[in-house]
Amino acid sequence: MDPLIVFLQAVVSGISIGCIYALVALGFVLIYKATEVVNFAQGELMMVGAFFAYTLVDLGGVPFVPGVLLALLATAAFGVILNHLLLRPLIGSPAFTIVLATVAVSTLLRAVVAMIPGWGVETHRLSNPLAGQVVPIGKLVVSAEHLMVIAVTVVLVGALYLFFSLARVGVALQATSQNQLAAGYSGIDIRRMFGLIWGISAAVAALAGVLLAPAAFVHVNMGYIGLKAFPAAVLGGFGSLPGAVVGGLIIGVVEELAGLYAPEGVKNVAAYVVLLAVLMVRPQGLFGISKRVRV
Amino acid sequence: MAVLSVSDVGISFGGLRAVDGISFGVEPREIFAIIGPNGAGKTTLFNVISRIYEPSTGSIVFDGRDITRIPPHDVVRAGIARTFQNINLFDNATVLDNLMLGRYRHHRSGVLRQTLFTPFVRREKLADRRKVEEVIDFLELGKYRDVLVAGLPYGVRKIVELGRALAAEPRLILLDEPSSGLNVEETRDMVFWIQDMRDDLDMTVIMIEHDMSLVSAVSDRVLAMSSGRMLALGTPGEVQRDPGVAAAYLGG
Amino acid sequence: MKFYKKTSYTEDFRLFRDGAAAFWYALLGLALVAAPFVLPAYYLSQLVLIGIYVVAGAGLMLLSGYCGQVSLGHAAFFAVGAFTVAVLEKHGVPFLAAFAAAGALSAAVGFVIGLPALRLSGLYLAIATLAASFIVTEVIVRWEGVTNGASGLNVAKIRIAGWIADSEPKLYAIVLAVAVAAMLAVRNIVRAPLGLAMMAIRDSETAAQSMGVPLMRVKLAAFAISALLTGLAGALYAHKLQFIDPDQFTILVSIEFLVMIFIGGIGSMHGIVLGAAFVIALPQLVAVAKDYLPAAVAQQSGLQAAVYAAVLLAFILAEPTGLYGIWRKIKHYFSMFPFYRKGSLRRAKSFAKSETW
Repeated sequence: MDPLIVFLQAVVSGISIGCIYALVALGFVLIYKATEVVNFAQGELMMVGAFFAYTLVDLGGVPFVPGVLLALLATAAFGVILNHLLLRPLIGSPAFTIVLATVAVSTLLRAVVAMIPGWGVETHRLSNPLAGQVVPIGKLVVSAEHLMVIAVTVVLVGALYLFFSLARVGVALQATSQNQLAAGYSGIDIRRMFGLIWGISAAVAALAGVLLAPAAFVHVNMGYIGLKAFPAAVLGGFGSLPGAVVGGLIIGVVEELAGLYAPEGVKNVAAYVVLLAVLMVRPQGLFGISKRVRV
Repeated sequence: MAVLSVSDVGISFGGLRAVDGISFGVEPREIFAIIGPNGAGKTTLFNVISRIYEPSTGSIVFDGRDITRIPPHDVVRAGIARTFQNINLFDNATVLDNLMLGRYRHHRSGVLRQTLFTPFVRREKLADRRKVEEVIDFLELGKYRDVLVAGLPYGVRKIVELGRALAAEPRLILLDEPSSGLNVEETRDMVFWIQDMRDDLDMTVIMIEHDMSLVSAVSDRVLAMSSGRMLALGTPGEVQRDPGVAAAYLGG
Repeated sequence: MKFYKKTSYTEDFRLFRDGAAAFWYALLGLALVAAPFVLPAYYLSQLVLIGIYVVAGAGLMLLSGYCGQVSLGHAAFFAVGAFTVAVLEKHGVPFLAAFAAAGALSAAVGFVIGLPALRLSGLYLAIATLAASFIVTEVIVRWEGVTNGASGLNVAKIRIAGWIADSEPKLYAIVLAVAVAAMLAVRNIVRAPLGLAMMAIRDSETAAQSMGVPLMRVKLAAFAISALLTGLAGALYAHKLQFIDPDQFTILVSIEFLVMIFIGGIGSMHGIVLGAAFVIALPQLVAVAKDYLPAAVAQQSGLQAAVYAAVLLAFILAEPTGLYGIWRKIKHYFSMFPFYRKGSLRRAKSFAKSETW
């Protein structure tokens, strides 16, 4: 096959997987910006969301679109509850404690999902209306699933952007993440905002899970993909939402190209190699601003 | 010959010039006060001198050596120690350990020696401990020696922080609002200590202070700042009579 | 209740607080020396594992517990140590040299990772170490010519000059010696100026810097020493198992290490030992508990991980000072009896300020 076509093919599927990383990284950055909790369980939220969708659509027989929407709502509710039970009591704890807590949550979620009858440790297929379809673009043959992933991500990122800049609640959330004290004084209910942000973040993660399912199936360990979303977020500069998206895309594309041109095994660690390289050259990430200490 | 000369120092955050064209010299064993309304750039100036911030213009010479670009941890090695406006202590350590850290700059032993805790390290540590005890005596902190800092009242913490700076045996000490949050009695002690630092410990003192009675009582000269600029520089009396200074305080 | 009256300055930084403490440690030392003569083989083998985890725990406690930096990738150093010793010994390098090389190489890897990551806030170190750990595992898997890849390596018995550690008590002797040396090294650092500087960094970087602590150098020292000790632990681990493959060094091991020092008690020397004992004993307890659980739950492969996570969360929410904190409370209760009041031992609940990172 034409090397250029092979290259472009890899770029398209890289962008598609990059979109998934971007979505998980987005949820991660949203929570971090608003609550300063680094949620190492973000990948597991995604996994739970995918299982919800699988249960509704494939086990419950709900049609695909309403089924997925219901699953997003359910995951959002799950995120809110998780925040309420576990993470709110930890606000203000040292970073070490929070890392351990979210790591523990992720381990616990995996273990519990593995024990649920019907979920377990088997691999499940989430049926989806686009399965197997392809769209030819010139000489390129692109799978409809990849295009859907990209389209949904674009729409979602656009919607989030509008929400945070226009909607009243969105602006309140922005304010909360920039200065909690000031936001509190202007009458914003900080606790409700934290719950809301966890809800949104969990729903975004669930959507990533649904989008990932055709490529990787629904599986108890699918949340490990979250471990590639962290490099994406760091690459983008951690506190930055556009940075998370760009970081995710870069990592997705680099990974696919590494799979194509680099020796075996490089693809698995490409994300981490890129991350370490960026830290050496531009430690604040691509979009980050180095913070000034106040004393 | 000035021990510290600040020439044309300026720094801006974004578009805002927080400190602009500040120049002054401090003589050895002088007590030099910096006053000004909130937001005048006093603490920012301290942060520039102690190298937490990078100045955009100007230079700082201490003891004949240009310290404008040295790493922040070398400032105390050069002989300048400081305290912070919002006390910055190690909360989970005892008063003693906080003071012992003040001695850090005097250490010579490397990682290997410390891992083996050789007699050399022990001697150094013992010498530090003696020096710290002198500071404890000087500031009358004896009864708090083994208490965790986190549980101490504000006034005591303030004094512990002063003690940590003194333990470093600096030639110049920067005090950021030494009397804020202290009661009348503690403030009176502070006046004596500041004078003793000069008279007994041979130190030069620069302090940011709002309490004008304290400033008039101890300082040789006063620098008044407003909106990052110099308003007046002179004896406490001269500065207080300066029409610009009065306007800055009253007119905001 | 006991009061301390100090009569000399050296008492503030002695190895043991007082004669009584030294006496109890001497007794503990005797018990540890006597262990191989009285303990059944199985328990001695568990003790060897605890000893190995103490070495790794001492390293991580220095970095996380005292210096406040979180590493999510210490399994990588554990793996580097294990594979270095295994590969070198396969090529005829004597144990002591291979052992030293294992520590040195781990420290070197730590240095390379720490150099970029430590310049930034702690979060970056956590993620950079995570990344490095994946890379190290992948390198071990792919570098088949040297590491034998995913099929793993057999490890010979420890041989020093003509002496071979061909029985559990002999291995135990070596592990015990290394564990004691590691604990002593960390204890020495903690009471030396370097340890004070690390704790200062943990509590306030700005203040530490203003007192002359070179942040980068001290953090890097903590990270390299930590990697070195964990590498040595890995080398011992390879000899304990006598077979190593990359699957034994996943992120779960890194998490196990963190759990170990957190449950032991952050920022305490006792916590290292308590935590190691806990982490080794827990799977045994879970195995025992399985007999009493309904089959549907007991047969789950994830049960052990679930118990780990649940115990960890319980500690985080209810007892963030760890096992050592509980031990202190019990001791305090009896020394104050009958005047104990709840909260009379309250101190700063957590080890660091709620500084954002």
